Amino acid sequence: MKKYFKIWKIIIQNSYIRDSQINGVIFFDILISLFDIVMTVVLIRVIFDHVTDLAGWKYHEVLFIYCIMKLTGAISGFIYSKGLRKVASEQIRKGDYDFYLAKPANPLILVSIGQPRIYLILNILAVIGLLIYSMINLNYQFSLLNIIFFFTLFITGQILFFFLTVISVVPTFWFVRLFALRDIMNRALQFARYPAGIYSKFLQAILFAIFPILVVTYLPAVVLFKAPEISYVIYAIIITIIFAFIAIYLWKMGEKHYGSASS
Amino acid sequence: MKKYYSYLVMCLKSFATYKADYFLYMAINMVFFYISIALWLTVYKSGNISEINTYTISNTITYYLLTSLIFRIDLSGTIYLGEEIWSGQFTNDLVKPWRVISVHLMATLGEVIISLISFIPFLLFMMLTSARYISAPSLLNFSAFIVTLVLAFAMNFFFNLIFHSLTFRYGDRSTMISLVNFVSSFLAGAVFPLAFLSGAYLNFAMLLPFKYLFHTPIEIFLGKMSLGQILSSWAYILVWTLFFYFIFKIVYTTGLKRYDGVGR
Repeated sequence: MKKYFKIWKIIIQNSYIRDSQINGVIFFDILISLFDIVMTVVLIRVIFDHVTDLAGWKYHEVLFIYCIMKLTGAISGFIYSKGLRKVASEQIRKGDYDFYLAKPANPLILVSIGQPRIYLILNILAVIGLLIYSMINLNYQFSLLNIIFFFTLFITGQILFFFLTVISVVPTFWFVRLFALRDIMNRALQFARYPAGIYSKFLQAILFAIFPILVVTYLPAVVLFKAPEISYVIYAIIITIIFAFIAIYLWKMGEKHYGSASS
Repeated sequence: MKKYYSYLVMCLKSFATYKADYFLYMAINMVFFYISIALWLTVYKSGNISEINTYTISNTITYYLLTSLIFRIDLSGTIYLGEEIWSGQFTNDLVKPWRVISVHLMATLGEVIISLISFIPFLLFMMLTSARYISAPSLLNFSAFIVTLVLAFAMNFFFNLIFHSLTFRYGDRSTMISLVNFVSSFLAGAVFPLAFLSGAYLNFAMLLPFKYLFHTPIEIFLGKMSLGQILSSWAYILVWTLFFYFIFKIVYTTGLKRYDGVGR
């Protein structure tokens, strides 16, 4: 574990040096992300001009759910999503994955942490700002249990999201040119923008169990604002463990299929 | 003319090589449509709303179906002029006996055509699964919708070329181009119908030419514009196209003088 933290520290330092050279690119990248937030806030405002609640959730609660979803996107972008996307777009196709296989460390961890986008810290701060704003406006009194359950589910959700992202890029070992795999998690995360109640029961079942994206963002909000149910926490932990096994197993299968030849 | 046609055919073959990639991309993009249906059905039902600024639930869902179609002719990722200037690959186009911009137009058209063809099965699937909410247009409105899309495509092409040409002077503009397209698509009504806005926000969006990319074609499709309004929209699009073309020409010509062909 200590080894990986050391590697990550060096990667972060390199990333800082690399990103410092392209200030303009980073500036516009951050602006895009901030504008996306503004756009969604406007959309939510437009919706609440016509209704008082959305599937039982008030304006600032919906804003809170959206913040959790954005935070998930920003945290994954900061740590691992670019690295995993590069696996899907380049490393397998060009044979660059050899570089990671030859190292005395877990290649999945190495490729995941290999391309951090440290400037996304600014996005994380902006989203946390919006999150605090929505909480202040809600003026709730949270119990200690609400808060403990929320943080447990939030951290579990982030781990689950990592394994879902891994699963989403695994097909690249078999289909070497499927650039669209890079975008799957971005699109899937869109399901987590709004309360689960807007979806049909059938779709909810899929989004809670088969592709459990709502466990990542919606359940933390439920235990904070609604009922602090221990069953939600247990369910999230069990499903995270299951998906961790699936992701690691599929990745290993993919590695066996990897021919190392570039195309 | 024949050489540009040959170039278009070559581009079509090139883009069609990786069909699986296009199909997967189209499939995952259907997500937005189904989320929008779920969202707006909840809003209309829970708010007991029959119309939002003349938009019924059928109009709203048809609106989102059409935005997913119009996104297929979105130019944010289909023009490579800036990338080629920055990499120096632009020199290859410059020394050949053709007009650089015509060649880029053919490449963009090629990608858009493949994107539209790949989208057809998914469009049919979306239409079938939401058939009871889809408003069908009259033949006249449908024809006017297609004409407006073609005109708006030309306008957007020259608008984007302006920012690509800035690469001559300021270097890599790719993220800036993404930002410009992101903002313009929001102001065009790609995220929700502009009619849902009110007051100053709506007036501001209506002043800009971006409404012709999404809002105006869809309003025509839904039969919300008279023939006179449609014709005047076309005239405005042509004026904006000429305006963007002249700005592009100035930026491109002055930029070309600075081009050293080295690349990065």
